[in-house]
Amino acid sequence: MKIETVTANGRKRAFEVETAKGTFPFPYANVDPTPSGKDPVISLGPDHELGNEAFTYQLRSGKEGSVHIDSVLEINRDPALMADLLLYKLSLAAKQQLARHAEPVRVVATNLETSPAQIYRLVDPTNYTKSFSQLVRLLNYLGCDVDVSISRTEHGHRRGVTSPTAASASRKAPVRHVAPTASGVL
Amino acid sequence: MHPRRSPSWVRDAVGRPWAEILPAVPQGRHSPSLAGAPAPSPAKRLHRHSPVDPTHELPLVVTLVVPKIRRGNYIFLAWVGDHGPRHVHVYKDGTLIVKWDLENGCAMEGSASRKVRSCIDELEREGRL
Repeated sequence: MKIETVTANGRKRAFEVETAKGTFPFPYANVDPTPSGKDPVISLGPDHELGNEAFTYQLRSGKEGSVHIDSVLEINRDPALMADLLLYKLSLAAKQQLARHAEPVRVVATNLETSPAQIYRLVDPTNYTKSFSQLVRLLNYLGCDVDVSISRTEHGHRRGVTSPTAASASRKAPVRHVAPTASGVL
Repeated sequence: MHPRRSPSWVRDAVGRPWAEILPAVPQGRHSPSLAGAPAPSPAKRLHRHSPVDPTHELPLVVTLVVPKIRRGNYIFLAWVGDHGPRHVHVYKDGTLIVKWDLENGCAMEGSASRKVRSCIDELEREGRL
């Protein structure tokens, strides 16, 4: 995801990062060096060296910092990023279990009625387009119980994300409670 | 102006009249009973709003941003968050080469060449990642 513009809001003490998905706040408290009234931000913008996927700011004291869009999304608990992180953890666990498993991959694939290539796709942590269902089937075959614990977040909703589409949707159907986030426990 | 008095029928839970209890209760900052008291220590002053659990003074999310590092014609940008593993983004010419998981030592996105891995190992040894 590319950053379109970024502004420093001294009143809110946060950067406001504008992307195609919406505008995300990123508090000064989460960055180091931290901007302050005595040491304010003097230059700020998307970093072309980092493919516009991060922004770089400079303080009056000459200190410089860069923040990646993933950090902004994580702080704002972007649902897509949270799902990808959970999928990554499951894939990594499956990869470790498969390495420990006594049977060769071909036998595992035959017993799961799939191909070895599909097994390798499932345990590839860089692949985020696989299904949870197949991953859970594989883990169960490898002798692992997959348990899911659901806990409510600190604030119960995503923090301060503003987008025109979200605003119009909330006007049509006001949502009182957003579904709690899920996290997997292996 | 007359000082405010509690009625004689006002009693506490154990039945003592308020007149007996009031001298034992601190009256506040300007009370004569506290005039000679020593000033609270800085630690007590810091946690005066959290007498039960001082840890709630900590931020809700503990994060760390590491500045971008240039090495071997690559740019490394690390991030320590609360949800994902500790990882570093590696860019070259404005393109993401790899998103490397520092905890598990594997790629989260893209693929790492031997040169990139050696750069990451060097930076880890130097304590910069």
